Amino acid sequence: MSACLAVWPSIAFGIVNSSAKLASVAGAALLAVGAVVQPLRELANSAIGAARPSTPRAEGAPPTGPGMSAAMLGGLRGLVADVLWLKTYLAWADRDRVATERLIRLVTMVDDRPVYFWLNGARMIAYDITEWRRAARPPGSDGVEDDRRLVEEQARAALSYLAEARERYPDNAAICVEMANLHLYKRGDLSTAAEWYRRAAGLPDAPGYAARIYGELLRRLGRKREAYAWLCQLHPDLPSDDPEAMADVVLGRIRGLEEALGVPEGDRYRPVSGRAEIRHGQR
Amino acid sequence: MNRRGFSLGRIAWIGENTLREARRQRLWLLLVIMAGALGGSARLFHDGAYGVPEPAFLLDAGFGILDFFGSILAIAAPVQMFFSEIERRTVLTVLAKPVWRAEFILGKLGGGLVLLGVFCAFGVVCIASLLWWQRLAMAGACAGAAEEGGRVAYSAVIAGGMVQWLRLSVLAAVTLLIASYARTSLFALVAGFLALVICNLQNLACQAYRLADSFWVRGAARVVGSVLPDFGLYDVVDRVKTGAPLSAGYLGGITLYSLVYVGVFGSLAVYCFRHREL
Amino acid sequence: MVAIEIEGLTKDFRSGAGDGRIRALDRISLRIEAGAVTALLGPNGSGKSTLLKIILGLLAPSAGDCRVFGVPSGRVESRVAVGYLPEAPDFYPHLTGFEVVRFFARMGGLPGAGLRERVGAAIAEVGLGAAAHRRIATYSQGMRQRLGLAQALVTDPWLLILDEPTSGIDPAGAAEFGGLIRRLKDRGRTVLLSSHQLDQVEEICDGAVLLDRGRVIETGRVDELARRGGGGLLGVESLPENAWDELRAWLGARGGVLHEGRAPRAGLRRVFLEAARDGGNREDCPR
Repeated sequence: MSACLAVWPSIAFGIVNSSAKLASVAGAALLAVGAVVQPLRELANSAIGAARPSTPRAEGAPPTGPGMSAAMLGGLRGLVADVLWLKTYLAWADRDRVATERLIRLVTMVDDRPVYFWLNGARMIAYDITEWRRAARPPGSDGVEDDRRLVEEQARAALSYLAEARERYPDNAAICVEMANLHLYKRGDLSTAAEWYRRAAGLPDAPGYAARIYGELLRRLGRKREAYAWLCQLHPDLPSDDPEAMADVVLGRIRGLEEALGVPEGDRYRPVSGRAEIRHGQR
Repeated sequence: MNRRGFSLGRIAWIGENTLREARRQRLWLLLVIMAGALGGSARLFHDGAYGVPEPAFLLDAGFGILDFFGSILAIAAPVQMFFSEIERRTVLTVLAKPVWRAEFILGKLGGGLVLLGVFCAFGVVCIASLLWWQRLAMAGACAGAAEEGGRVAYSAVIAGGMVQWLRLSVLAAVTLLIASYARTSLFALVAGFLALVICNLQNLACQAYRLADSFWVRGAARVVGSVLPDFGLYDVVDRVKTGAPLSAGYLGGITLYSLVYVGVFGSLAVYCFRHREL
Repeated sequence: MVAIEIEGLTKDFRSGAGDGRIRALDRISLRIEAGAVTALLGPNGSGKSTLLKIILGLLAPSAGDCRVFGVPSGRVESRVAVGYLPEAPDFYPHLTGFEVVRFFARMGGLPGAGLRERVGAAIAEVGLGAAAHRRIATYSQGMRQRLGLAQALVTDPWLLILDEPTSGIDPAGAAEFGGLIRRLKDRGRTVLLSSHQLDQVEEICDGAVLLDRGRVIETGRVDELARRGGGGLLGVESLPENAWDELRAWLGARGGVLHEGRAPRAGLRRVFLEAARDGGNREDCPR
């Protein structure tokens, strides 16, 4: 076998005496190998494809120059992104709005995989930069309308940023929850917030409170029957021994909705045995 | 030893000679530098983790440094080991013995792969040690903090190191092919780094192939994507950070993928060297 | 038995520009008998190194045939019984002399059993015993030359090819080298050496091949070549200055040419050797 290994080039290809022939032989051999290993490439790609960083580009467009530069880093992308994140934090600590905004986007362009880059970046845009801009406003321009415009502008910027994150992580509950929080606490848009909480609640890694808050928002939006049905199907799945699940709070809201909707006694929700009964208004 | 026929023993001796030279040239200092860089990164990120899991930062730093220094070693070592033989003309003295040119090239490749293996093993030990030290520190500071810091599967770290060694082996084989043809070491070095960049951009080549309007661009992208390996397939740090082990299917597939390319590039290097006028 | 047989050997190199070629060897044919010490002579650029490389299989000929002990030189088998010393050898600077010779012994196919002793003997034979375990980087050029000889001899080859073997070696060392070649010849070994040291070639070689611009100009036994074309040597004493013209005319009438005469000289090489031989006996040398 070892003799064949050493002899096969001359047997297969004869004596080659020019660079062009060498290049042709090498190119043909590598093309053939590329075709042969394609199944292996697809196997490996399917195993780790989701873990590979994306290359920033517009929809349907070729990759950008900075995107190519980031791609060239190869295995260094993660480390470079981490270092850039440190720089982002330093800029944040200095309240340098321009640098913070620039670095937030640069970090996720270099490496879009870590979710905490997206989440923390969005929070900086929506909460911290809003406060910086408030503090930097000239005297006399701090009216309510101006403030609302400012908050809305930053919230939309953060939501736009998170929309990019959803291109990579369409099924990530934390991103959906973050978008819901922004709609709820920054924009006051209960309807849109409710929709995002509902989406988050349907995902595998959703936090427990997403479903609970969705039910509560339905109630606040006046959609009491929907809220009642939602909470009744949610409550049985809540662990009674986990304070964070707030099963008693949910049960209290169910009772409150029953009162508000005038649900007959016989049709009211009955929790599974062993769960504590909390009347409406009692916690 | 078979004096006339192709001999694995001679390949081993050439590889051993190559390693001995590398050791005497104090390439182990590179390992010390890498360990220092890893330790410094761990300290830096420890001071400024900023609410994100420290193991994630440490793994990024560890594998990033392994990638960076390892790529330099995988390109520079084969070029230096090959061209030093040419420039000193020791290659003439070796090949004047009953040594096949294939044995010479394969010996050089084998020595380089072992050198890279030692490098990656050392890097993995450093990374695992720092992770373990970090968990001890966090556990000492606060019960439960070690769990909050994120799970670390040391088997995944070791598997990640093995995957890096496979990637560096392919890169070394590509570089040796280039060196076996190149006339100067500078050309071989530059071409080696160019090959590294192209292999890192293979994913882009696939995208260009799908998105480009021009037939020629699509053709060129298709050729580049087929001829050179895709180094993006070796980027497993994100998987390691989740704490989940790398699947057996992936490990088997990437190992076979790497062996095929190392074999092909090694064979092509033998082929080029056989027709090189010394 | 023929050690080296070359028939119609031609070697062309590309000149680098377009399709231009340089012919380094032009239809060379020669035979070197086994057991002989043969010199390969010629000015710089005559093709000596190219010819040696083809014999060693390091270069492929453009045309013609070259065989070593009947085996085509391009085959690995042709080098089993060959030892080669390159011109101005340089080795792995970070290895010791012993490690280098041992490496080349392994490359030559020597088995592990007795390898250490064989390597030690080869190193001792070239006078490097004391420096065997020092790194090559600390060696002088002469020591590297000796080391190169050791690695060529370690496998006890039947054919020894030496390219400028005494380059960088002092005259005393060159004299030792001559003794080594004679011992090899006595053991029936074949030696082909390329050298510019013509006086040494005259002393130790049986035959010579003279190359010029890729062609064989002369070939034959050294003593025959040395006698060919030379005139007689006439020593004259006490001849008055005005008689030189008369002598010149007398020689010219008989077809001879009078070259300018000078007092016979012992030669710097002889002086050096005698000084080196006697240097240990002098008591009046300043310290």
